[in-house]
Amino acid sequence: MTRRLVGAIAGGIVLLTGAWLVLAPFGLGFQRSGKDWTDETLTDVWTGIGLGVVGLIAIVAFLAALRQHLVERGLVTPRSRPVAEPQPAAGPVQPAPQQAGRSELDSLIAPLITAITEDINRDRQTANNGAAHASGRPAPGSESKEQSL
Amino acid sequence: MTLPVTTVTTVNTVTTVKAVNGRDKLGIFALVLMLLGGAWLAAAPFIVGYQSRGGHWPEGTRNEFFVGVGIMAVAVTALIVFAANALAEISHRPAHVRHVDAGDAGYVD
Repeated sequence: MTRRLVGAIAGGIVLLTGAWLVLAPFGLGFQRSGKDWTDETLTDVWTGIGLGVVGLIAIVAFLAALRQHLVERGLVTPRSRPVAEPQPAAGPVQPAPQQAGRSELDSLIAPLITAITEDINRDRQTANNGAAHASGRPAPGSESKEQSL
Repeated sequence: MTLPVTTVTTVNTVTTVKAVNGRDKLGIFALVLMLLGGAWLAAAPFIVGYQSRGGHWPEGTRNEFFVGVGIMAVAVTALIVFAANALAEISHRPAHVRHVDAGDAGYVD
């Protein structure tokens, strides 16, 4: 997460620097308005535009990567597009408020359950690895066991 | 008398996320372009020819040179932080899931 934030911040800095480069010939006074642009001005302006575009691309790319990372970790739930529900054919339909509330609650606590399950699995894996390392045997959960009946 | 043998296999479920995804690669490409752009900006007064070597540097040349060096520094710093952080994340993973970062699969179950 940190590296993507750093990349996005670097993109922002370069975007601002590109804007400064476009304005610098006029701000610093070595390009007078109304006269032909010198080579120095042309270099500054076109390099500034290019760096601004690259900085913008970096910001978008790293923020998108950060969002994808958070979605994969289950910390962010992507919004699903609203799907047009088919109209009921005929007759009154009885609403089921209790069931709707339950499904909403399920969708709310699903990321939490996923995160807790991952933590439990990770702890169990660490404990198995530690026990196997201490006894010099492979972890009991990572290989097959044979049971004779 | 031979008794039947039943094999029970337990698979530990480990879900992992790739350290560098496709959008990260685009961002890294942009950082490399920033590095090259900064180098170009610092060298442009001499390459284009409006600044003679050994002569006095006017304000425009100083501006381009130091802004170019600054952009290079920002890009290099971001690249180093990115690489170090990604390598640290990979090294902290269990050995049996590290191969995911070298392969195409995003998840291992």
